[in-house]
Parts: sequence; C-alpha cells; structure tokens
Amino acid sequence: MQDLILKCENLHKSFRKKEILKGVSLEIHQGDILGFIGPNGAGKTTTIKLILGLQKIDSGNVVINGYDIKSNFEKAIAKVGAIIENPDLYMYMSGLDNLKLIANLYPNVDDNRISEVIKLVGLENRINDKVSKYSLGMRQRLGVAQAILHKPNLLILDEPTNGLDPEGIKDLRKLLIKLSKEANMGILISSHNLAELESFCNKVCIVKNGAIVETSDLDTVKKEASEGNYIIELDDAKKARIIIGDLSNAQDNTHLQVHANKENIPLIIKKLVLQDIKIYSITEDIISLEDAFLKKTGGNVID
Amino acid sequence: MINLIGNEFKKIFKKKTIYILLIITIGYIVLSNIMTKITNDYQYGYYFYDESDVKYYESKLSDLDPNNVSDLSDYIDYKKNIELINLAKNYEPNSWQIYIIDTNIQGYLETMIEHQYSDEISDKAYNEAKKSYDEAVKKLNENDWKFFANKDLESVNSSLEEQYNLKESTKDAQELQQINQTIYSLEIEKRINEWRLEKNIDYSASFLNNALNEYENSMTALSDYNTKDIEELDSQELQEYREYLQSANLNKYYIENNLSLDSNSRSIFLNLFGNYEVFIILIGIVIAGSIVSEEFNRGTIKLLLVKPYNRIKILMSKFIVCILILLLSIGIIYISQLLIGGLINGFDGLSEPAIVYDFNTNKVEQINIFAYVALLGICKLPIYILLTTLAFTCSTLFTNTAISVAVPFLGYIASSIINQFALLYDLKWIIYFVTPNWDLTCYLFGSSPLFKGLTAPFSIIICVIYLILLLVISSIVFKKRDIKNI
Repeated sequence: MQDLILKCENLHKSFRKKEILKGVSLEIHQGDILGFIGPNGAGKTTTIKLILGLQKIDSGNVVINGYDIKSNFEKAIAKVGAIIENPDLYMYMSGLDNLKLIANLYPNVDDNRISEVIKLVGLENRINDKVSKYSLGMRQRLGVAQAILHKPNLLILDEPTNGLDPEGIKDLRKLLIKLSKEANMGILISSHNLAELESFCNKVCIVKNGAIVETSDLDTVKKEASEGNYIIELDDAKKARIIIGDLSNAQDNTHLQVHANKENIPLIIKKLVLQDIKIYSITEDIISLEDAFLKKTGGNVID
Repeated sequence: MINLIGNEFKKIFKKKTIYILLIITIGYIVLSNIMTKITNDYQYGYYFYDESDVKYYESKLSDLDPNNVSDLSDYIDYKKNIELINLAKNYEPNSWQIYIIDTNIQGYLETMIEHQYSDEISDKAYNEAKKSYDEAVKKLNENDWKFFANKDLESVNSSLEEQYNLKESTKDAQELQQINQTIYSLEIEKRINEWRLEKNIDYSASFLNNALNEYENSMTALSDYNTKDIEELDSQELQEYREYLQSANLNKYYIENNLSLDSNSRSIFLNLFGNYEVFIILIGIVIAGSIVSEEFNRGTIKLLLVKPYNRIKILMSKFIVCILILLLSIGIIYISQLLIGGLINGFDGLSEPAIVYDFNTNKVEQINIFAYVALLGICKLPIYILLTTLAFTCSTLFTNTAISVAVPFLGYIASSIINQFALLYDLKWIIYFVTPNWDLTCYLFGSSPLFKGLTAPFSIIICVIYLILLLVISSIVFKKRDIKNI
C-alpha cells in the first residue's frame, strides 16, 4: 500500500435545508489518479470545495498529508494544487505575472521552476501575453501550471478537460500520468466527460445525489457493470432467442446478447448446439466506462 | 504575510484603475492651479467698468425722458454710469483709483447730474460736489491716494470728537450704550486709516487692502459679542465668534508685519485637503471597495484561498495595502500640488511660514508651511481611513464593487448634513457617532469642536472603536463565508 495523501470521511454539507452531500468518503494514495464521476449537481464541486477548505464542513473530516483541513488549514493545504471550476486567473496580467504571483506565496518556487512548468504545459510562446487574450484551452494549461508550480503531492482538478481540444486533452493526459508516476502525486480529477477519464484513471469514484455509489479500481467497475453479459455470434438470432427465452436479446440477425451467470453459459451453448444453431463466437461484453457510469447512476437524474 | 502584501500591490499596479484615478487627480490639480492663475486678478477685485457698456446705457437713455418723473432716477443712474465708465477707462482695473471712483466720486457725480434735472439739489450743494469732484479727479491723476486716506481720517477724527463730547453730556444709559457702540466702530475705522497711512497700503485690490477690510468686518462683528457672555453661547454662535476672533487677529498680524501673502500656490497648498479631499477619498474607497469584491467577481478568490495562508492573514494584507495606497495617494497629491502649483503660480509664496492663531494662548504663531499642511493631513486621516475601511468592509460583506464605493461616498457627503441636523435638534448621542469625531483639525491650536463636550482623546477613541468594529465585522464574514459557485 502506498502512502495515503487524502482521506475524506463521511462528509456532510447542506445549503439552507437542502442536503448536498450525504456522507462522502474517499481516499487518495500516492500515484493514484482518481476519477471523480457524477452527473451535474451530484456534489462533485461541493466535495472538492470542502476538501480545499473553501466551504465549511458540516460534519466529517478531511485529512491531507496527515493534517486536518479544519484545524490545521495552512499545513494541510501547503502541498495541494487545484483548479476549481474554471481556471480563474488575473485576466489583466500576463501568464508569467500570474505564475509569479502564485510563486510568491510558496517558499520553494524560483524562476527556474516557473520556466520548467511553463515548458511542461507548453505555453512558452504565449507566456508574456495577457491572459485575457488566451483561449479557454490555454487558460486551462496555465491553470494546471499554477496548480503544479509548488510541486504539490495532491492535485485536484475540477473539470480540467473543459474547453480543451483533443490534442490538449491528450497532452493533459500525458502530463497527469507523468506527474502521478514521477512526482508520486495523488490526483483527483472530476469530470462528466467519462470517455476522457477512462483512458488514464486507475480508480473511479461515482457520486450520485451527494453520496458515493461506488469506489473501486477502474477495471473492477467495468467488470462489475458488465458482469453476465455475453454476445453470441450465430446464424439465426431469432430462433436462438426463442430457445433461450427472456434472458436474451437479439441485437441483429447474427448477434444475440445473453444475460446469464458464467456457469450457465455452457448449458446455453449446449441447448443451442442441440437445436442445430451454428455458433461462431462468444465474447464477454466489456462495456465502456460511460455505460458503466450510466448503469450505476441510473441515468442523469438530479433529486 | 509580506508576500501577500506584495502580491496585492502587484495586482493593483497591474490594473488601470489606480493610474486613471491618479491621472484624473493630477489633471484636476493642474486645472485648478491654472484656473487660480487666470482668476487671480479678480481675487479681491473691484467692479469692472466695461467701455462697451456705454452703448447700452446710451440706448437706454434715448428711451427715457428726464422731464418725466418716473423716468428720472433711471435716467440719472445711466447718465452717471456713462460718466463713471469714461473716467474709469483712464485707470487700471483694480487700481486704487477705481475704488475711489466706486465710492467717493460716484456720490459727487450723482449730486452733480441730479442738479441738472431736478430742483431738489441746491446750487450750493452742486458747487460743493463739483469742487470735490474736480479735486478728486486731480488727485486720481496725481496718484495721490493718501489725500483720500487723510480725508477719511480727518472725518473719522471729527466724528469721534463729536461722539466723545456727546458721551460726556449724556446721562441716559441706553443712549450711552448707543454712543459707545458708535465710538467703538469709529475707533476701528480710525485705526484702519492710520494703518493705511503708516504701512503705506493704498486702496488698490491687494492682499493687505483686503486684510484691512477683513479686519474691519471681523472687529465690527465682534462688537456684537461685547455684551454677551462667551460661556453661554451655543455651539454655532461660539463657532462664529471664534472665526471672527481668528480673522481679526490674523489680519491684524498681516498688517502689522506687512505680510503680503497673496501667492496662489501658497493658498492652494495651505488648503490642500479642502481642495483635493474628494480625490483622496475617491482613490481610497475605489481601491478598498474593489480589492475583495473583485476577487469574488472574477472567481480568483478560489485561487487565493487555497494558498497556505489563513483567511484572516489574506484579508488583513488586503486591508494594509488599502491603507498604504491611501497614504501613497495623499503623498502624491501633496507633492504634485507643490510641484504643479510652483511651476504654474511660482514657488516664492512657499518660503513664508504658515500663520495660525492659537486660541489657547491668544497669540498668532508661525509654523513651517510643509509641517503645517502635513499636520492638517494627519488630523484628517481618521476621515480617510474610516471611509476606506467602510468601503473595505462593504466589499467583503456584499462582494459588490458598486455598492462598496457608493456607500462610503454617500456617507462622506452626508456627514456634514448629519452633523448639522444633530446640531439643529440638539441630539446629545451624536457625540458617540463617528461624524463629529473624525475630523481632528477642530482640536488644532485650541479650536473648539462642533459639539460641546468633545475632546481630542475622546474623538480618537471613538474613531478607533469604529475602525475595530468595521474590521471585526469584515473578518468574521470573510472567515465564515462559503465560496459558492462563481
């Protein structure tokens, strides 16, 4: 087990009478890239704001690097980098000036580190331009730059892929993987754009209506979501469906989707073979993260 | 925390706001110095006799009939004005001759013209007026203003003699009081004329001539207080009494020491805070009113609050920066007026010290002019700091720049009205409010505050209490605030 960086326990938060978070718990270890997934209004941003001390925690604990965010804010937040909602920067200043402002607030960031980070996010050519002239994608890059400037070991990114073009997303993905491996960072990344997270998260945490529905390794989620789904390629799907009954579903003339336990698969095959149906292949249907997500959350419904 | 303060400075100086405010302020300083230079001639100016008015009066005259009784007075008036203009065009505007034309000659002319059209003026009176008129015009041309001063002095002396004789023969108390009053006024007039001759102050519109007039006015006004008990005056009467006392003493000092302090740059500089106060306050509240709310509006507050500094440190560094910017702007205005005023209106008046009347010692004192203006600034600081703090607190409370600028500005405008209102209705509790306490200049040199019972230490304590209150409120709100979606 690698070192624990972030631990949230049973976070509750209400605005007026509406309960936004109903006991969110999660953990991030060194090297983790945790995808924090949920539909709009599920409480992703609120959770992140509680973790960062931007909002008061009604009950529950946030412990970062061993320090409680409530009682020891300055130490807890010292090694955290974050982008919350939009990469809000000082638009009337240049990118470099923005980074210098941030650098002033940390003890160990010198000019070399600033240029290193600028190179890392690929903003060398435009760093002296005013941020107001940047595209949203460039602002995202600068946002990432300011978040990692002080070499944090916990990086929290709220919807970082917003406004990035496919190339930018690819770059960000590479950068995050590199950071988690080389700098031993823990990364919390929230998004509803699941296809993007799928390719580089190693853990997911699905949140719905203020509660965690599922936390596990990415592969497990997918596996669980797809459990018992098999696609059988055969010559006559209609006939086969009549034979097998309710648990099957003809996708087209030659493919049949079967929902069944693994142990029952040989029996189904046997049945089909006995009825002279030709079977060409059987595959386990591993569904995408997006499908898994929809399945877990039961669609995008906000209470 | 030094880093936070440094960052706040950088943010402010990277924005246009502060530069625009400073440019407007300096532009106003330049403008008001130029305006003073242009209007300087009319500072103590006399009526300006304009030659082009002759045509107007002539056209009026052609419409009037001197034989018609109802037209007569207008007719004489216009006729007289034409004569006066014709006479005045020979002399410089604001010269001593114009004053004599305005006063003495006007009377002679009126008698002379009236004699032409009316039987009310006897030949004898006409001849006398004519004689005086001719003599006066001769003296005007000879540039002999002392002739008029001596004549005034003579007439005052003879009036005085008359009154003293009257006083001896009068027994009636009321009449005696009347006579004493008259003697008091005549004595002042006598002193004025003696001074005029002794100090060689002619009638032309000048600083010292004005000082003579001011002295006379103030002393005349003070005579009303001779019979009153100063202790029993109400606040407003006391204030007026003190103003007359101050004016009389200061003008007396100018005359006795022959101080002609009519430099424009000097007078603007001495009244630096009166002239430019609104700009100091504007800079203070615009910076303080936006320093917190703008971070909320732009969403950058989230960036700032996830840095390893607790919220109170962040808020206090912003406050410190506001106060420093305020002090900086006062410094810039102070130096700008010295330089700009000097360049436009000359530096010479700045070498003379400031002259103040000390009510405690009843003496006129000289103070280094730069120290004096700085002292005024220090005494005005509570106003500027409290308004800036109010803007700052509004900024944290409402996170809305417009409200945060408007509220303190309206408060500033309303403050004098609040004080006047409290004075009018004699509200005792007003002394615990901030507006009667935040201007400490009212304690300088023994001056008295607007409300009875106020003292400098009390006022300072009240100001400090309000300051702490505002800061505590903004700290609590800022500390507890949930950062919502922006």
